[in-house]
Amino acid sequence: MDRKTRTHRHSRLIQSLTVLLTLSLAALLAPWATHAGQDQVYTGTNQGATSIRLAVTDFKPLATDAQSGTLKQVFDKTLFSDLQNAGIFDVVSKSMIPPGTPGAPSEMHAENYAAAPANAAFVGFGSLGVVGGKLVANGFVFDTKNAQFPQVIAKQYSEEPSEEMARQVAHRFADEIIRTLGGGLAGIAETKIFYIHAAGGNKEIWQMDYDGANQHAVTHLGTISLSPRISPDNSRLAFASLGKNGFQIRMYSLLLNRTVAFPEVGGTNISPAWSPDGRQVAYSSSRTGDPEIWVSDPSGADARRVTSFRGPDASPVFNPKSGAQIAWISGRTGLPQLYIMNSDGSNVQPMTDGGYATSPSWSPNGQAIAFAWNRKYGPGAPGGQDIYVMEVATKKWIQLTHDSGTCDFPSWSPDGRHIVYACSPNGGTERSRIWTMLANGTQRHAITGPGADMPNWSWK
Amino acid sequence: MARQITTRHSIQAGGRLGSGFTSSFVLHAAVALLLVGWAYFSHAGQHWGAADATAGSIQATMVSAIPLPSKQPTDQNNVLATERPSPAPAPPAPAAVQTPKANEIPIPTKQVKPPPTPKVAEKTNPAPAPKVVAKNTPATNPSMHPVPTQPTNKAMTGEATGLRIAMSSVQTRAGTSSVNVSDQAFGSRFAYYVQQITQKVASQWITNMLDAQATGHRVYINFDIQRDGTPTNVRIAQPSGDTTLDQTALGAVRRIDTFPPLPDAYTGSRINVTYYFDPPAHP
Amino acid sequence: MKIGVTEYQYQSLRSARALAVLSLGVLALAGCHHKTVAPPAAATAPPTPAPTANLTAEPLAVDLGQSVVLNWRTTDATSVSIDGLGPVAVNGTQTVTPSSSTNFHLTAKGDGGSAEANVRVTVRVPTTPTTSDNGNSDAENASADKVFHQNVPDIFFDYDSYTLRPEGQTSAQKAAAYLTSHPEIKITIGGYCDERGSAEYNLALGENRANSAKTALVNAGISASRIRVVSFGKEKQFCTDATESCYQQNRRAQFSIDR
Repeated sequence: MDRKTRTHRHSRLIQSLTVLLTLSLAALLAPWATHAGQDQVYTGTNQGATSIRLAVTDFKPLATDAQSGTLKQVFDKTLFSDLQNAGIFDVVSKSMIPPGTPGAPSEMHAENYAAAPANAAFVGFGSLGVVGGKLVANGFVFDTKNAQFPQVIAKQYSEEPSEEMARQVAHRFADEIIRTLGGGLAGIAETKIFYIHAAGGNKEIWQMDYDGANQHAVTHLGTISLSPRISPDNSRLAFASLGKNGFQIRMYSLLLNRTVAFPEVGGTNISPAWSPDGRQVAYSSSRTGDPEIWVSDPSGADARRVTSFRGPDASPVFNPKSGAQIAWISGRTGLPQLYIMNSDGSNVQPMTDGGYATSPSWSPNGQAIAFAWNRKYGPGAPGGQDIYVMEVATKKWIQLTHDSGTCDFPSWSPDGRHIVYACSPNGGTERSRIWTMLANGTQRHAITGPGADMPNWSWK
Repeated sequence: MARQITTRHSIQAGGRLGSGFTSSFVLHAAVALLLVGWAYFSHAGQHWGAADATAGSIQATMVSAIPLPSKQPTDQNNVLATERPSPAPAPPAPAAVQTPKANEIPIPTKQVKPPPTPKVAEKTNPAPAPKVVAKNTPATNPSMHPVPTQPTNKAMTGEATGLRIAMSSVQTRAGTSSVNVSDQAFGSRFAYYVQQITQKVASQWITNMLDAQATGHRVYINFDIQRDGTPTNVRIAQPSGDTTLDQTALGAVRRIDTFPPLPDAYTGSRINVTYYFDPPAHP
Repeated sequence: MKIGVTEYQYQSLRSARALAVLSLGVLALAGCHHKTVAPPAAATAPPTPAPTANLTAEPLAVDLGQSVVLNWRTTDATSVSIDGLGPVAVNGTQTVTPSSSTNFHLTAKGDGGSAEANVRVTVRVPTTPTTSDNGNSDAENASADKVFHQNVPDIFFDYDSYTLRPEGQTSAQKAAAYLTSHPEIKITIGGYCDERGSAEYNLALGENRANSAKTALVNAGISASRIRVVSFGKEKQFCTDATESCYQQNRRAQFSIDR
């Protein structure tokens, strides 16, 4: 009896010790346990869509003069890089396709491009040259696996013979290919990027093609202008400019090539943004003393205040799909954070809750917001400001840039597949460059030299 | 004798130790529980990769919001890795041999309800990655591959090498999406377009995740695509028997804003498409 | 049998003890494992004597091409720098030939904190002496500026903050006193930020800083109609080093005479 009790007691002891050990192991592992409910459901990205394998040949020359040769080179190069930049093609390297330049459907044997090593699903080809004083181009795309009906695209272009037009024709043909094979989204080869160019203490608004070509000035105001935002119909440019009365919103007509009326009001007025229907402009105005988000029509009339938070409110952007929401940056809790609300100011929701968040840009399909975020901001903290993308519905985010200096001002392309942004070693405009990347963070490259900042991608 | 004394001592010692030990361990267990509880509650709100409670953990898959194709999960060093098309069934042998009899279809779940058009062979998918599978049937039984059942004279027009697709399939982790265009001629002529519709629908399906309880039924969704690519008239043509699966499939199409515009060379104003979905077979 | 039991007891006790030690060890590990997020610590200034600084220029107004001698004296400072000249000795002189009217700004840093001094040198362009909007010549304006800046110090702010620190309140009182005794002066308050952070947000923050300064003056009795507020955000920097002291220099509300 005694023995049994003792034995019993000891084995109970062992049991309770084992329980204790288990509990302490549980304590050790508790942090992992709390994440059990957060497991991601799927690990691929968008698995239904895949890159289309596309081969592109050099175009066949239609004429043998020197100008045709130069223009054809520009065309071939531009077409190839446009298709590579698109983000949806697996463009076959030119060294892996059969040699030769088929110029017309009769010369094309598409099955050669379907075979290894090209293994292409589609092949683009054509002819180009200066004929009768005009730059003429014939472009085709064939389906390599459809021997009975191979033709997918057949286009003819006729333009002024210049390098600029050779590039434009390549852009248009690339866009046609992207539109036809890219699931319905239009290509971006003809879109433009507006940005700030700093020189001599001033900052002017400049414009360039989506790939960095053709950089030229738009404004010549001789002062500091910031935050260029092009209207959805590409006709007007809104920006903020430093004048006698501080920073004011200016409206510039690209059709008339001059500023058009926008009233100056008291306070600091900055960071304009267009609604997708082009009928409203949101901006930050401190006419009441505290910078708040205001909305007016594009001529500045009918202005109404939409936020009423203490602290700086700036950088509004409309949801480009619905036009019914605005995302913006507010410092009402201290460091600036990202918020969204309905366009009338109701239903305010914080999206970030820490760090220093700034410069939101809403994706064209309305589902994600790209912004610049420094999650370790503070005095003495090294911090790093990078581009992040956050899914609006779930608030889950990913970091797209790493160790690139201070990055800011992301702007989505109209196809929702690319983001343009600015990075600077120290945050200053003089050493800032504009970069572009696919919206998943890959294929990053700079498209300007130093002194370029605050890019804005056109809507079409 | 000495042993016995020792024994008694140790028994007594053990006894004393036993009771003291037990109470001290009860105390320790209580402390441990306190620690575990504190650990749990103080860290319950934290998520990896975020500095705060509202931001979620880093999740690479959220780029489902971004319309980019997936990165190929293959060896980066192997340049040709993505160039090998997945093993797809060979083009069907001449029609005469393989026509299955109407009563010969053995696997009820795999039965293809005949849409108004006759079935066509699977196309060898030109894009490398999507695994085009012939109807989930076992590869060892070639007679199960769907083959043209239309009258032979009609089949002759498409008999040349290459493919005639009114229908194409994409298999993904969530299951197999298949698309069938009612206009046979459209499907043959604009094979690339049918492929795009299929991919677009299949990708919507992934991002709108399937109910884990869905069983192996097939649901048919029918819709029109207008000239500019807008899908209209989306409806369930034949339910699968599982309403969750039906609604999920319906939602997958409804959420598509637009398909590519209809090909320029096509003169009609719209096409009619049937999409059916096979969830993956659960173990 | 008894022996067997004893041995069993011994063994069970031993293993119980081992288990106990093991679990306590794991518990300790579990406690150490949990990371806590350290909040960013704010620096506090030690209470040693604060440095002082004095900067003068001779002459204060010159013609284009003429030289000016800068003369400065500091106390309790370990490092001194002047914008545009870089680090300088704690006391010294320097001859400069400015090409346009310049604000010379000296920063003296020491263990007790930092101090600054300003002096504005006006450069006359070689055309007919211009008169500014208020009818005074440039020389008169320059000397009025000098006196003004000596009596109306700029207000400095913490990072991401637009609330006045205690020394900011003092500066505001000083400014209000000077403005009360010179009722004809109107001022512009410029809001500035350091170069970190975003251009757009910093413009809004600069606005808030200038407004805070304005509010402090208005509360001290200055009429709001005498005060104009402009924000420059991080577009105009007083210094461009990537150091905390330079950042502090740039986080300010600056007073200037509005002509």
